[in-house]
Amino acid sequence: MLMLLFYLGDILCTIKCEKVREIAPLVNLKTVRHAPDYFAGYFNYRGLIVPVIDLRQFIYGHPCHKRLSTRIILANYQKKDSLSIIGFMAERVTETVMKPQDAVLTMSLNIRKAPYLGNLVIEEKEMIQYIDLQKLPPKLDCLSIPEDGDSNAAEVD
Amino acid sequence: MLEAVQKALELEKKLADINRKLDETDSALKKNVELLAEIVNAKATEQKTEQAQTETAQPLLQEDITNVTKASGDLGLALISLGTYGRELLLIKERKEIAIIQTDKIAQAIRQTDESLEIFRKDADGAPETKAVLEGIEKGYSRMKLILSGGDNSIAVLRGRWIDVQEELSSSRDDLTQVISSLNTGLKSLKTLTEKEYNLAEQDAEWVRKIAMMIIIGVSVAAVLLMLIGGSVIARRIVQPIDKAIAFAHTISEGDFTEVIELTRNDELGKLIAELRNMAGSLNSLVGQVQKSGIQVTSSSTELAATAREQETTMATQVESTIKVEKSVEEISKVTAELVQTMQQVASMSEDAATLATNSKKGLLGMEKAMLHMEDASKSISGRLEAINEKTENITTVVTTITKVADQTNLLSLNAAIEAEKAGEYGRGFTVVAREIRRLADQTAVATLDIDQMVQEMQTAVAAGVMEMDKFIAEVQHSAGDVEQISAQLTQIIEQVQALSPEFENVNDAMGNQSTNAKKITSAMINLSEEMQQTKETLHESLFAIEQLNEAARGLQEEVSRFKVNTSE
Repeated sequence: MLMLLFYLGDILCTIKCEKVREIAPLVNLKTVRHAPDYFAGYFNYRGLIVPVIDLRQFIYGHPCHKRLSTRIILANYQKKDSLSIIGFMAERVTETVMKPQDAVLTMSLNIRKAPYLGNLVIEEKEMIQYIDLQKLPPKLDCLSIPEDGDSNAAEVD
Repeated sequence: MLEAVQKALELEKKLADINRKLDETDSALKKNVELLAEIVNAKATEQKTEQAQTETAQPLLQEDITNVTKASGDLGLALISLGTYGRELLLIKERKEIAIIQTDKIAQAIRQTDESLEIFRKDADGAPETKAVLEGIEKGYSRMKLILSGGDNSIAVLRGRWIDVQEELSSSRDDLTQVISSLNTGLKSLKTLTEKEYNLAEQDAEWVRKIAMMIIIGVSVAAVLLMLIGGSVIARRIVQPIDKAIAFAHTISEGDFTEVIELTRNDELGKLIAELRNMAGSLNSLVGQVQKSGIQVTSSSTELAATAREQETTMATQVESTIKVEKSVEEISKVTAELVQTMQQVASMSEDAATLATNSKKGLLGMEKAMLHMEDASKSISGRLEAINEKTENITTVVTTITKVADQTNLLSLNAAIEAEKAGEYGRGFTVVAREIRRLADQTAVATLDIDQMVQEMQTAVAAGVMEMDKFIAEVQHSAGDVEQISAQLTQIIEQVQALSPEFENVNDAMGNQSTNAKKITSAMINLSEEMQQTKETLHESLFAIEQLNEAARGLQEEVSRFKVNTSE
């Protein structure tokens, strides 16, 4: 299982690469007035309008530094019959790492407000925050992503 | 008598002649004999040496030699004795002794000589020198013989004659003494006769003298009587007027010229009195004149004395003033000399200052140039730094490009890895490639990061350098300006000092002139002072002289005032 490593501030985070469509460089985003501060703007990805979420702003309340290594991770979300793409902006998106399927450890703590932060990955005695992309979109109230697009369906695909 | 004396004189002459001859021959003989003795001696030594050479004894020859030597000695002795006998003969005074000498001594000597000569004739036949000497000796010997004994002119005969004449002379002298004694007795009788005559004459003279005495007494008594009578007559005629004249002369001598003498007669006395009166008149006028002159002289001399005293005091003050002036002038001279020295020092110092200023100006010019050079150099350095800055910017852009490329590579590798994962088992190898690419991109990114950092450091350093450079340039410009200003000031100073230098020289010259003038004045003042002193002394002397003159005039006046003068005339 290939896992993508990145940072949100000083915190090392990781996601599974199954849902990742592509990693795009940071480009100029079309911002929208009165949108929540974690909404970074729209991104034109090969003719598709893709909303971009500032992940660090969303989780930790600080915007990402605009660096070269700050990139946009494009993730696939399968609707009933159409494919939806959401971009997540993160810092130092430069590394991938191969892990076994059981490397993701489930913790006993279940945070209602943030269910996507419930797991960890152990990497050389270092604990990496695992972010579950399937459980993330329902918490984005500004996006009209259907609730039913559950993780199972996604996982099946 | 006379004849005998003449004969004796002739004989003396002859004897002297013979004596001379005898001396000559004697000396000749002596010389010859000495020569002979030398020759004989020489021969004897020769013979001896020969004998020593041949070593053959020749006793006969040796005997001959001794004989010859002895004979020569004998000959010399005999000849000398002949000479002495001849002299003895000359000194002999009695006939007997002549005979004795002639017969005994001379004969013996002659005999000896003959013998010795004989020996020589025998022995010295060979040598011509010896023969000649021998002939000389023989000649002298024969002459000597002739002189001594032979003929009329021999010493013996002459001496005999001389003695005869002497005897004659002595007899005639006895006769003469007899005659003189008879003359003496005659003279004595004549003397007694004259004494008798003298006594008779003296008695006559005494008588005559008495008569004459009586006559003289009578005549003198008569004369005295006559003179008394004549004197009384003459006194009445002459003495009275003379007395008058004497009285007149006396009054004159006492200094009274007012007396008048009357002229009564016309003879010599009258003339005398007239002359006296004339004399009194002229004396009167003379003394009057003298009195007047005396008074005048006295007053003048008093005036003179006063004037001289005034002059002396004035002179004294003048001398003091001159001495003061002299001192002041000396002080002035000293001060001037000091001033001259100081001026010279100042002049030299100003010259030094001028040279120093010139040197420093040169130095400043060099400094200015150096400053300009520095400015240029720093400007060029600044330019270089600017260029470096530009270059670093270029580097930065390059580095940015590289970084972008590395980033894109990284992105690419990431996407590749994701795609490979999607491919599943088929994309496994590609995953590895993607990882390697990503690593390279990472390394590139790190390297570019380093470069970027370095470039940034460089940029900051260069920027700092540029800033420093700019500051430095500003400082250099400021310094250059300062230097220029200083140079200008120095130029001004030099000009002023140079302008000052000739002034100093002028002042110096003037001071020197003043000093020399002051010295001249000093010497002149000294001279003047000396002259003043001399003048003062002279004045003093003249004052003394004037006082003396005054006194003399007063004395003269007193003396003259004794005379009474008839002023009416």
